[in-house]
Amino acid sequence: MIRLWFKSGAPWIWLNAAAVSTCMIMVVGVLGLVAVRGAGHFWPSQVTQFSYQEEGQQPQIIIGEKVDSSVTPAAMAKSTGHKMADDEDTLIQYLIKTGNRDVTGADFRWIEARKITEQSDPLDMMVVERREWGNFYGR
Amino acid sequence: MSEINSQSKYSSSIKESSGGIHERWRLIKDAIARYGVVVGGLGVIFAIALIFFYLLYVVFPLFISASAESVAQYEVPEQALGKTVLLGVEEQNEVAVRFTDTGQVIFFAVATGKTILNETVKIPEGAHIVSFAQGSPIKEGAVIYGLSDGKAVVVKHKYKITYPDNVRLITPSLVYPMGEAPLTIDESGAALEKIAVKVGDDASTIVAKITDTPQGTSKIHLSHFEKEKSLFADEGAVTRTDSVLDYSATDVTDILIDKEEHNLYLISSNGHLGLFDISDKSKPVLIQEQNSVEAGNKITSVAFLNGDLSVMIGDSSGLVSQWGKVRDKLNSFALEKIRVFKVSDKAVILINSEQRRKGFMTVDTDDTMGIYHSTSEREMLKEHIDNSSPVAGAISPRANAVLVQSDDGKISFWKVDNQHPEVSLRSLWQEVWYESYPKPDYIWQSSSSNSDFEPKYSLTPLVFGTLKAAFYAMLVAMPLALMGAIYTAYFMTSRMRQYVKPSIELMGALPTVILGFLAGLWLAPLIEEYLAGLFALLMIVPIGVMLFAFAWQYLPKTIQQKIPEGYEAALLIPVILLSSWFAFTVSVPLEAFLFHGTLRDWFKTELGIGYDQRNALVVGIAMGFAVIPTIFSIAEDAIFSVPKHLTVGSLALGATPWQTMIKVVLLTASPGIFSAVMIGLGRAVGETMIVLMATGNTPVMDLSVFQGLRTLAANIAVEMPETEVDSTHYRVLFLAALVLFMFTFIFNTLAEIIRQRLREKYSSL
Repeated sequence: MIRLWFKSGAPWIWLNAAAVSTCMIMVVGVLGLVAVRGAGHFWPSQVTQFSYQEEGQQPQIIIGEKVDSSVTPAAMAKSTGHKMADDEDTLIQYLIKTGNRDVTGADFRWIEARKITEQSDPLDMMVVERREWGNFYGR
Repeated sequence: MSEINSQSKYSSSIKESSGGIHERWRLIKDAIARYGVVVGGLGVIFAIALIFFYLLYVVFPLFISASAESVAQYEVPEQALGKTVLLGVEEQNEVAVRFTDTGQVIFFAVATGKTILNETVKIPEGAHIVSFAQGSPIKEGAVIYGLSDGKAVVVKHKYKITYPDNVRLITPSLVYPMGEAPLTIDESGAALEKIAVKVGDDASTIVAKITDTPQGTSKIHLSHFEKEKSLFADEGAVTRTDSVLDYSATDVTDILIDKEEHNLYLISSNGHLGLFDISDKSKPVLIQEQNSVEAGNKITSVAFLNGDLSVMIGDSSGLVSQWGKVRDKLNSFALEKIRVFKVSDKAVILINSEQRRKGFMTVDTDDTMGIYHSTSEREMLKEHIDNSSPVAGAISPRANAVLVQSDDGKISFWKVDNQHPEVSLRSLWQEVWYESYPKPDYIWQSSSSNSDFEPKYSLTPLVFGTLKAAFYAMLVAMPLALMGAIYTAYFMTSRMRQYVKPSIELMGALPTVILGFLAGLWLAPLIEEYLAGLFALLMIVPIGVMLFAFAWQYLPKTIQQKIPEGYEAALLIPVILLSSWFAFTVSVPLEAFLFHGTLRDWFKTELGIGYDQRNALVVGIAMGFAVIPTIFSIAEDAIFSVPKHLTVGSLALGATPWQTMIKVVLLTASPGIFSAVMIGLGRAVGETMIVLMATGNTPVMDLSVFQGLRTLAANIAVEMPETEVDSTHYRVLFLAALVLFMFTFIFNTLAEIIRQRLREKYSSL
């Protein structure tokens, strides 16, 4: 039956159709990517407040925009020096744009999702674009 | 032309039949159009020819030989003051210097031979000069005199340039960098038979051959002077280290110290060569002893090549061989003979290195003078010196003048035009053994900030990179574009086609900078992270499509009829998106399970394949993206314009649509499809911005998909803004452009020939 199907030539037609679809996805994808990444600049993004508890340290509050996230399997995370519990399958990390370079010395920092104790989106947060020292985040 | 003639015959017959003003206007328009087309066509050919000849015009000087003309000849100045041991010329070719064996230093005008200044080196009473050596021609040229009482004097010849009344005036002078008082090298006061010096900013080394008088055995004595650097005092104290080398020195005739003062070469006239590591001045270590000439020949002259990495050894049979320290497989250094020049049939008595390039001048007893370049192995110049044998010579710092003194007491001044010795066809296309490299290799490394750098102009890695990038781009673009063209032109409904075709062609309108930018900054890190996902995508998406297609025929007829044939592509979009998502999701645990970590690390540890973030894979995808619309558009037109009667006939005879496609349509459209592929290839070869931004621009020759590359076009774009106009580097970049031009020219010509053949063959269908 499969041989008959292949003999009819239909699968090859479908495969050719897939090429067109791939091309279309690529075009729309690239245009969409450029548009979203470019236009996203004009929209304010959500500023989130995290309570962050690092091992053996005082809990701290981190305010900033979530820029990126990464998911790492436990084995890989272990090999790069992260302490992983036995029941953890993946290590989830977020890249936070914290701004306030004049205070913290850096604009961005990676945090681990499992160390976030509390997370909220306060309404009275604001972002100020400054001429020096990058963005200001706070209230 | 025959067509034009027949046209005009035709139009003249019209003129005869009716002669109204409209007819005349029509004929005028006709003539304007005809000549307009001819002028336009010829203009295009002319413009291309002009580009070609301009490139050729810029490149041509690379391959012409040097020329020299004798501009002046005069008596040796102050001939009575002794025999010449060294000649030197300063930067501007105005003042030359003659050092004599009696310790006189005579500065004279290069053009006329008139004495400008006569200085006497301060030598203590009771001692006389036994040996003499030049430290280095560059950095104010230190020379050393070895005296009969175990002492030595180091002097430098300096040239001060001033501009009184806006005229350049060069004032020569003699200075004593290590103090006017002679340095005591041998405490016992034995004569310094042979001597060598290297004067640096902070440290200086003097090596001398001394024969102990009672025993008659010779030894090599090394003295090192190092200035203590002190923060507060201007003049630090000098620490001196002395040592005696463990070497049978009886036959040593030449001593060379490199500019780092780490290597010491002891050369005997019978060809014996000793190399010492003198990094630790108190404990010199013999690295190697080597015989450097064939038995029966004698070493007649030695010199460092600029940079002091290679020693040029001239022998009595007229050969000049280049010896350099080479690192072997066990990571230890050894002297090896890198290349040999056949200079003459008689002894080479003088080798004088250029001061800014890897060239050298030779003088032999056959009364000839030659200029050679080591990297390109070119003989740039060979001139016979009339009537007399040369005894001394010098090449100027800019390598544009030569002074030769002959034994009849004359000095001749030659002007030399030697612009581009670094390039030969061999050095451009073949493996070249560069200094400090373990073996001959293809290297592109065009410039550096120091003047003793050996430029490496091999176009091979660039051509390789160009072809590699084009290959991977075509690997991505060809299946997608051609399959897409087949489907769009033949199977897709016309309603969908009128949207799909312009959208894919829209890809071609995207500036390549955007594609390169996305590839370099967005795609490259993404692929690095999800490499396994990409491979999973390549396997899972086609399988997903096939599964869907197979399942489709078993769907109820009602659903099938709602979406008629020709809409498969639209149906497949969600299928492809879903299967890609599935591929990426499944790849993360699969990667961890199969490769115990990342696929990248697995490639590195298991297969030994390194991974560069900017690599041929990224470029293949990005440039494939740029090439798809070109190929798609032309191939689609070609397939679409296959006459309907052919396909309809084929279908009527019982062939399936796919059989008709393969056996009838593709064959008929093959000339068009072929030219589509060739135009796409031409675009991939000449593409600049994408490869510039996404390849890392490393000119390596590695077939691996995960390694970077550098293409001819990107190389021109990267280096052209930095290069000096009319320099060798500049002309080599134009040569790269010419190569690129020839590439596309040959590709297009071949494509056109094949296309014509195909058209002849299948036009009768």
